[in-house]
Amino acid sequence: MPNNQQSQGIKNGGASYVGWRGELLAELALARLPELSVHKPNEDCGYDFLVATPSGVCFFVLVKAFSSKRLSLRRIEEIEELRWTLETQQILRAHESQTPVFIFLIDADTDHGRYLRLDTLQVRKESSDRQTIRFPRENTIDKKGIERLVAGLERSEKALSHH
Amino acid sequence: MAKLSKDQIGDLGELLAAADLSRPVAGRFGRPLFRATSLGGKYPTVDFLVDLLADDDSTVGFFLAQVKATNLVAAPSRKRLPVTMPKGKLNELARLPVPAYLIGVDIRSETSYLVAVQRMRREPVSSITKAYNMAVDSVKIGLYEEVLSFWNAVKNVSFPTRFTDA
Repeated sequence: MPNNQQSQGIKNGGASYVGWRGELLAELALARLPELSVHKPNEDCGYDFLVATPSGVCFFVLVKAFSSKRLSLRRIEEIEELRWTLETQQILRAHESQTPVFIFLIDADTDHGRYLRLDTLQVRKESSDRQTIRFPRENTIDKKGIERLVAGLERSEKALSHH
Repeated sequence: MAKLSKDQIGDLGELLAAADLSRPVAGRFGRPLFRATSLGGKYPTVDFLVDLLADDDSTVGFFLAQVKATNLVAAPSRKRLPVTMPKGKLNELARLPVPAYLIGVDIRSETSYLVAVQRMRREPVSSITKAYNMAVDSVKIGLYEEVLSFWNAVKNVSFPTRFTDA
């Protein structure tokens, strides 16, 4: 039976493996495009990966992971929108970054993941400690999804450099 | 598939193998049984130290693994995966006094297969059986129980030491 759910809130369920497996799956997703150079910056940086494309465009990746099993969610890949709560400070920090920032939200149980650009994300209420961010199904992390992410970024960086 | 260098094939193979090993198994475990740590070329013959995990993610044993990846097109019906390993390297792995395995990764289908490395060989490896697919839960559970039984037997052997912190 297909999952017709339109929107689902996601939170970190506290399972101990979620963090390290989420990071591994993010690295694997990026490695499927061999033309990308993927580096782990030092811990002070606040991001999990720094990625460079052959054309010299770079972006940071922040990885957040969860366990669909612990949330009793099935067919997560069919849900139209996944909602995640992020600290407002993290979004504002991304806004200040000179380098584009993406957040990867990864299900450590099924390997399903989605991405969202963070440095251009609108903050609804700066006075609020946390913001709900939404990951549409079209932002699924697979080889085509990462190719779209990179192509979109290269286009926007090219447009910026012409201004 | 874009042409990959030998290093890119190796790196992608290691990530695929690590993802397969760490994927949670269903049923009574409902969690990952293994976590692979890449040794980054710092230890001869061995690519991964693979921890066996308890419920709380602590380590209850480990095994060593060499990963060999291939992007050669092989018919799905073939029962063996074409990966090569020189005889010398294989025998170095076989001599190690802990459980050791060779993991073959088919980059195209993103599938990993595992075989034990126990006995010395006279010939290099040119292929491994596809009988033990690491995407199959029963293979991972069998591997976990096999390696855990080794470490449980070792735990029962007394280990006197003079290097105590007096």
